[in-house]
Amino acid sequence: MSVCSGILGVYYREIRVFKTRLLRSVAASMVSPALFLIAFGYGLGRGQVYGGQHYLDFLFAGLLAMSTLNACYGVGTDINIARFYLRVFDEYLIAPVPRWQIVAGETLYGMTRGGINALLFFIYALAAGLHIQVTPLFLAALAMHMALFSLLGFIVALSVKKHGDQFAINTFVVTPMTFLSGIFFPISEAPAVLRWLVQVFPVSHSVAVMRSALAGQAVNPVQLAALFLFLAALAWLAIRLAGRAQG
Amino acid sequence: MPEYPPLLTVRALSKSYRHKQALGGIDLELRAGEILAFLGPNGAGKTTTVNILTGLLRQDSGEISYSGVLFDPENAAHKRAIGVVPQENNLDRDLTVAENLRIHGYLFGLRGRELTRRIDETLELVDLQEQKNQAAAELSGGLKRRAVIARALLHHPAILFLDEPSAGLDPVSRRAIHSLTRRLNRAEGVSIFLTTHYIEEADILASRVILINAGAIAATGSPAELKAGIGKYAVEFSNDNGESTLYFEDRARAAEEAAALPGEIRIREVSLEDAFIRLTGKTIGEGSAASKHRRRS
Repeated sequence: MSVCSGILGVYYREIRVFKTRLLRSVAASMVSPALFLIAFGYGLGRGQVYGGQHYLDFLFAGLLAMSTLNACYGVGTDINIARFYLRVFDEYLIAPVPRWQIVAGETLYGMTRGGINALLFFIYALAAGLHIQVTPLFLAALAMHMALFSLLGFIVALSVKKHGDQFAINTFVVTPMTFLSGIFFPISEAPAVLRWLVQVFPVSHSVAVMRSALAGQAVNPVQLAALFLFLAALAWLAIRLAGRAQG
Repeated sequence: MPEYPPLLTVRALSKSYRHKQALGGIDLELRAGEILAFLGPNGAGKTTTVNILTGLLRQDSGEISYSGVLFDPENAAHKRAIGVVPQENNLDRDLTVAENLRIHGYLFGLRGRELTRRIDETLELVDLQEQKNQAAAELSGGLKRRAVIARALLHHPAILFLDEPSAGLDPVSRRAIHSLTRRLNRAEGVSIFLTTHYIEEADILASRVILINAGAIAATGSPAELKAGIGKYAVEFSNDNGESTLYFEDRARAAEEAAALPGEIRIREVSLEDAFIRLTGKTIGEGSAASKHRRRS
């Protein structure tokens, strides 16, 4: 038996299901970032400069992070539907595969969803003539960011007791995290309390690393290390929860 | 039927949900080549048992052994020995029947031509070749059930768990599932652990029946043994105290007794339900208190 049976089975299933609603899903996770880009990038922030960067370039990195975050975190909703309504998740649990492979399969799926959104954003950036540099460091940071939020989606999905609980987490955790973590404005210009508070949000670090890498600037090693730590912690937690999951 | 060593042995299995006991230390065995029916009303603990035996739930205490080896849900070999048909048709509705089977195949380590061949063979076995490329959502309830059975058989398990396989199906589909279950057992040699709350299903399919009620096993035996335990004929009658049933060994004695009874009277052969009511004081259909039942020789 292949060592990756679980990863292949889970990934194949998720991708086949995703394919049946590809346009809907991608469009839904692109709508908000596109509206923010128009309202803030071309509206309120037009002509503004932050830290030597045009606001549109600054915002692009943030919205790229937001769009991929939404897409990757969305695996949580899919898992919830598979657990509570379709009961398909039980198929993974009865299969002779280690539970970490279920986590890996779902994470790869989330990254694939996020990757599609990122690709669309880059096509837009090229068309709009934005100043971005796609370097290996940026791609690595993007991959970590997508893995991190896919894992978060997985963790939330396996932690909630019913489907509705996930909406509460979205409202009280994910939305504040998205708005306060430097996607729309530089954290350095926020009040001191907020500057400290947002350090607990992984997206604060991933968006900062991605933004610096996209602009061709030096990446803050502390934030890169924080990104690694968050990733390792969430992977550990996801595998632990998967190990305890019951039908 | 000859007796074979047990494929599955369960000892003192118990499970509670928030202080509510679902299983109270049950013992059971599934022998190689048999169809074992686990018969009881809704809420008796049938699905909890299946979920524990297939690694979906963890028991509070008790031992499970497959072919004499202690069951470890983390052990891939143990999981490959069993196939599970859950109570709900948990197919991906937007995917085709073949895609649903392919997912299962990948999860069980099958690949390439071998997987494609097994999908075709299994669909043929359950008579679903024509629906191979049809979305699961487009199938009728009976066909969905067969697709779920095909999926569970894809990796050639030695034991098939069928959890309420015909619940919610029309009589024609139910008969088709019964015929498939028999074929799998006799022609394919699959040992079957069948949970059901349908008396007739247990009666016509099972080599042995375990009667379960409120998380405890009330009796075990072949359908004939269980029925023989209470007599051969039942006399149902109603009086001022409500409905009652008397059981007799011979028909003449039943008729003689019936002639002396007032009100509406019916004489019939005893059923598994009679055995269940005698043993538990409840009917299988509603799980409610039954009327009075007495045995007379």
